[in-house]
Amino acid sequence: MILGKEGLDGRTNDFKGKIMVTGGKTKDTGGDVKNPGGDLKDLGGNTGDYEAVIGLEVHAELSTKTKIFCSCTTEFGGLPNTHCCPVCTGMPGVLPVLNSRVVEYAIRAGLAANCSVSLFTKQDRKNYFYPDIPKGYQISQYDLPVCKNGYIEIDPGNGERENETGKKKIRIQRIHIEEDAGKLLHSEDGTCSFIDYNRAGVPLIEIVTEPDISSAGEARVFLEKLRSMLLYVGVSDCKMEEGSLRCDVNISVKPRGRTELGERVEIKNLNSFRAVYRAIEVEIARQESIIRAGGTISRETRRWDDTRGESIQMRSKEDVHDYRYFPEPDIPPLTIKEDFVERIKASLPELPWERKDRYIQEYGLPEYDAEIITSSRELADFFEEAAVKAAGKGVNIKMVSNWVIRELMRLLNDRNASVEDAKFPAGHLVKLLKIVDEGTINIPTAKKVFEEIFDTGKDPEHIVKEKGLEVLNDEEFLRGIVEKVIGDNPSSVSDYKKGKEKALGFLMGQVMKETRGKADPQVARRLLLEELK
Amino acid sequence: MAISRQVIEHIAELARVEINNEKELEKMAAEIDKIIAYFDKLKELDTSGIEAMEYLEADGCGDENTLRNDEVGKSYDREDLLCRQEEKEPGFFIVPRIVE
Repeated sequence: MILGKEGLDGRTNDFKGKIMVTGGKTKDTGGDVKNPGGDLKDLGGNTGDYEAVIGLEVHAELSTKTKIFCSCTTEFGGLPNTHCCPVCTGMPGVLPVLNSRVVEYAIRAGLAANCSVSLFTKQDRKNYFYPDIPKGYQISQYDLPVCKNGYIEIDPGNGERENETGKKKIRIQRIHIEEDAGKLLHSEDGTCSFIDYNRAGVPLIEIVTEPDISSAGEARVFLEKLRSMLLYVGVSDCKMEEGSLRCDVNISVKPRGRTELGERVEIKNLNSFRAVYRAIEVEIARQESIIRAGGTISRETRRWDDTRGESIQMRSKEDVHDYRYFPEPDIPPLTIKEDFVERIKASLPELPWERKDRYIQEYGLPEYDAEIITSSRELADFFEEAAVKAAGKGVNIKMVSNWVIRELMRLLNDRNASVEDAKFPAGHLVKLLKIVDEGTINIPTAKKVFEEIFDTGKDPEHIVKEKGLEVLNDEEFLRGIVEKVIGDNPSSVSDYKKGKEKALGFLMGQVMKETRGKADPQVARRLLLEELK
Repeated sequence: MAISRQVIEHIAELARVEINNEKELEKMAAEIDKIIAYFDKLKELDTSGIEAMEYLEADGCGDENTLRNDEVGKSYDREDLLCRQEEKEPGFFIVPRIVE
């Protein structure tokens, strides 16, 4: 398959107006089905006359410092063609040399996905003419990928359908290494195309699944799991908006229960998990409607148009590429030693699903909470630091997880920040919860204090003292306030005495107002009732 | 073994080689036939029991992997990379319009 033909992310968009960005094939060769919108149903489940068989090909850019075959930086952005050299621009006479970290990272990802590592592996040439690849071929791997035969377990219940229980294994057929392509932009007058090779030669792993996925929901759950795994093991930053995680989908639909597979259709240009989900739903509906109408599905490649919510034919079976793979003569094969693999295995961190299980067992977190917290390694690290401190201070760990999921995640979203940038240690949250536990401040005040901790990194005890936020539960003082409120609002008092319960709420509100929200509501209410007798 | 016309046309298309007329096609077919005949000659050698060798290193001649450390080096000046191209602005390689 060919990568990154569409210069769509505007990375090189530094002279607007002159260049128009277009996608791949613009000519519509017909056979499109409009997105039927609301009529879609998830056909991948256990219902319906048809079932979908889905496999994914995921490309992840590796977070190495340099490109796969030369020492140019992989840094994102940069002026066009400034992260380039003769190797990655395909000049004649150059010799590519494989980056050792690329091999290491691919093995790392493979081990995390339960793959076996090939102890003998090599590069191959995949030949095609398209100028996003400057050499006329992409250096990839054909018959001896670095890793193969793995799996990732998913919990389909996390997806759209709730009628499935238990885990499902999605098998990984292979993980191979290859070079990314450059970006093409097209001139507005239609006479020429512009190429930026900054991305050409950035290392990728391609992760190919077996066709074990049966719905859009499962595909999304799998991708989320895969992404979280790649982030945990630290081999890719998985930024879909920068194109560092991309996905192609292969789908076929067959009558339920039939063993032989239908003809498959490949869908490209899926730039978000949401696009993957929608494209699968639309494609299943398209194929099903063709089969129902007595037609047959032909093998083709389609391109997803996210704005229009439909796919367009790119290539039919007749013009399927003939890549003429052959062993890459410029790069010697690689012998991988078992102790190298063992060392990588030993350095793997606890994986998201392992961590999730541990949180459920060790901290008694509900599965849902554990899933959310472990979806990001940084968030889980923060939670765990807090949980350890909370245990020491006698603060309820469920409360810690609630605050992480609700308050911390809300603020992170709101401030568009990530946990790594947090200005405060996890211990501050525990301190805050301890103060709440002791009754020094109430929950609404605590939320405000947390916001301040988040923004300034200040110690919660200081904030509470500095702002005088302690709950007022001094009975003598509060009784004085209550008497004043009763004296100032005779009509409400008589309303209450006539049986209007609402009047009590008003009087409570006045007490809170007088104390600027700091009165201990239980004490204030009791005193108010006493004085009203 | 004579190579078929369709195979020649297919290979030419894959290699983006333009064949303008029947004469060119015949000439090319004859040349490729000669090359194939040469390989047929090689096939006469008895290689049973000898493992295929794609690389010298794989045959034990080199035992160290040829790898590079992940250290950033200096990239080229864009002007140098683009020096054979007439139009230097706005810093792209320029090709005839390509749409797949």
